[in-house]
Amino acid sequence: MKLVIENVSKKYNDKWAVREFNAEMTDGVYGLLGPNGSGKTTLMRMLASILKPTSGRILLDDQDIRTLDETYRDVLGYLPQEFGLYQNFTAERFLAYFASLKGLDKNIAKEKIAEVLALVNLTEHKRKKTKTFSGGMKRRLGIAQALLNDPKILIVDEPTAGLDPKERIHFRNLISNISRERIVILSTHIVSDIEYIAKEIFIMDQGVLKERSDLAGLLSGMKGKVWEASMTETEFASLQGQYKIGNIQRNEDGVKLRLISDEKPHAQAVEVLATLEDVYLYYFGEEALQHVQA
Amino acid sequence: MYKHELYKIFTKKSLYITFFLIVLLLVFSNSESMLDWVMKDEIYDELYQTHGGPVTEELELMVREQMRASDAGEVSVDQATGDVQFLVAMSGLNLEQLEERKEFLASKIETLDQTTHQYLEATKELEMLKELGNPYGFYLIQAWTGMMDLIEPFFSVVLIAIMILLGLSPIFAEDHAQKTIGLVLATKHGKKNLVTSKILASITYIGVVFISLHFTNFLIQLNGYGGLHGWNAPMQSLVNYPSDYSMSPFNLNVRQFYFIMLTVQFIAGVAFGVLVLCLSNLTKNYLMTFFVSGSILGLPFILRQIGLDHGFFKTFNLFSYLEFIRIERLFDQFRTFSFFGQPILYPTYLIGVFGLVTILLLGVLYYRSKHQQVTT
Ligand SMILES: Nc1ncnc2c1ncn2[C@@H]1O[C@H](COP(=O)(O)OP(=O)(O)OP(=O)(O)O)[C@@H](O)[C@H]1O
Ligand SMILES: [Mg+2]
Repeated sequence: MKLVIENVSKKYNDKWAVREFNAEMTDGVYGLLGPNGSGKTTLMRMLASILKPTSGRILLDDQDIRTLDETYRDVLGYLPQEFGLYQNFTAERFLAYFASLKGLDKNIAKEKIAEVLALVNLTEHKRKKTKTFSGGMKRRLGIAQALLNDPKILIVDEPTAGLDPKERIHFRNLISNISRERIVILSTHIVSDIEYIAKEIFIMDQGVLKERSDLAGLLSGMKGKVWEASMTETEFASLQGQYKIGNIQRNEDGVKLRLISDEKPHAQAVEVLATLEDVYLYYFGEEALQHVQA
Repeated sequence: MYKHELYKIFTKKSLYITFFLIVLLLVFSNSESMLDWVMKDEIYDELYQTHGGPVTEELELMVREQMRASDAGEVSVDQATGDVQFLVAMSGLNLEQLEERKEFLASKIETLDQTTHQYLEATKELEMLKELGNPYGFYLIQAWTGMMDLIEPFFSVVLIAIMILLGLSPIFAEDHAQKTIGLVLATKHGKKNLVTSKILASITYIGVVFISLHFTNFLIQLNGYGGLHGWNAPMQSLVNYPSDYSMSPFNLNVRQFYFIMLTVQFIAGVAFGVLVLCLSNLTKNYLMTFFVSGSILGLPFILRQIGLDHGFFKTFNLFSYLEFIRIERLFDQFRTFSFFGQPILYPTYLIGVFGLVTILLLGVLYYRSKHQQVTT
């Protein structure tokens, strides 16, 4: 399967939320990385066929998804960033409802519901009404819903928001396990969600695709740009504002910094291996990173 | 899908509470109003033996003599007998009027050009009236009057409308309020088949409300009036306010008429339900849907209250959801509207118009669902 985003733009009133986005995707996990308001959700909604691009097309195996219509949605799984559940439904009924919306056969639906409930660890809560669910449980039920029809294209918008670290790891493994033979598009603020599972990472800013590469490519682009240095508080104060600064550790001797710079920023600075977090910092600066860590 | 949509509607507690209140109201209002003319006592059976059935010249002469005698104080009659005598006398008058009307129409037709609308209208009316034969007389039909009472008055429209509004306003709006719309629209059937399921579930709901409401009323009336006599009587013998059908041109017996009314009212309920669904989809808001559809329904009532019931407004008011659900005025007199020069009976016309309106609304509903976007 090949999913092509062809010159897709979306304008709200007079603001471009996504601008001339081009990409081609085959089976594997694609990570969409970008700060708040960079257009991730807007792009994903267009991919989920619930928002019409202002211009451009999205093609699945060379056919416009708008003409494919039900055929496209038949192979689609979508988890929005923000969504609700029917309050009076139990988890099981909620999934049964979506199984019917997805056109699953009754007998198959039963099996699939049990399967996805187990996948997201909600089997023991299946008889509980969704209004009693915690944020993390709701999100997991949302993920289960997206997986019901064994989608060939899975679009998940910040799926780990509200999950605790254990659940996050569980989810990452889950995605990694199911990503063979399907296209998974995942947006996130949390770099570690996609660091090791993404086949390619799209870096988006202000609606524009800034960079697309696999992890190694992104990291090698950072060669000679990531430094670590120990210094006194006064030195640190004079550096602030000049560089994009990542991790800051304070101890008795002073401050230990991780920062981004094209040349050696300080006499004691040593070049270190870049991580995806550094890439993020490089593109979006400290404020964006603070969001990430918050 | 259909099953789940039904579940969504029928798990709303407010509906049960409202329905329960309505039933209480019915029981209460009936125990108040039923007292006057129940026709349950044995005396009515006896009177029916002597005075019942289609009014004849002999019967009329007989009651006139009896009435004269009691007026003159020669005999004293009880209330029931007096009432029945009066009813028979009135039936005689009604029959006379009917004959006069037929004669009038026949002579009018003579004078009219065969191509005119008036000619067509008059012939149509005359034909219908000829079919009637003699539809007047004393029948034991009070239970039916009671049952019709629920269908007709403005009050019952309010009851049905409230149940429809409460049940159907959330159907599309709920997906927005609960923020499930994004999930739903991205599924295979979320843009089309789901709409069909929602419509079918809504019709089922209206049907259930309908049957429960009328069945409850049926039981109350049965209990109150003690039987279903008179189902064979012509509908023209329903003469009690507000269901005075003495001038109706339709050749139906009471039972047939009852089922026709139920059917038409159900169709009207469904038509109104489709309007509510459409608004629920367009406004994406439960309360807004409730009030806008409520206003559309109530508008003719308001217009009449402020005196706007002539010319255009008269037609407008007649062709409204209110009149459609209310039914009262659909069958009480001969009334036609022109369709390319052809006189069409008002109820037929009304059903036709709302059939079209409903198809149009369904088109809007499907179109909107297919093209719905999520931006919030
Ligand atoms: N319905 C809307 N009307 C107007 N502007 C909108 C609307 N939805 C989004 N935008 C704007 O479009 C831009 C992209 O928003 P989008 O939600 O796609 O970003 P995002 O990358 O998903 O952000 P976040 O990380 O906060 O989820 C933002 O500037 C936002 O203000
Ligand atoms: Mg977003």
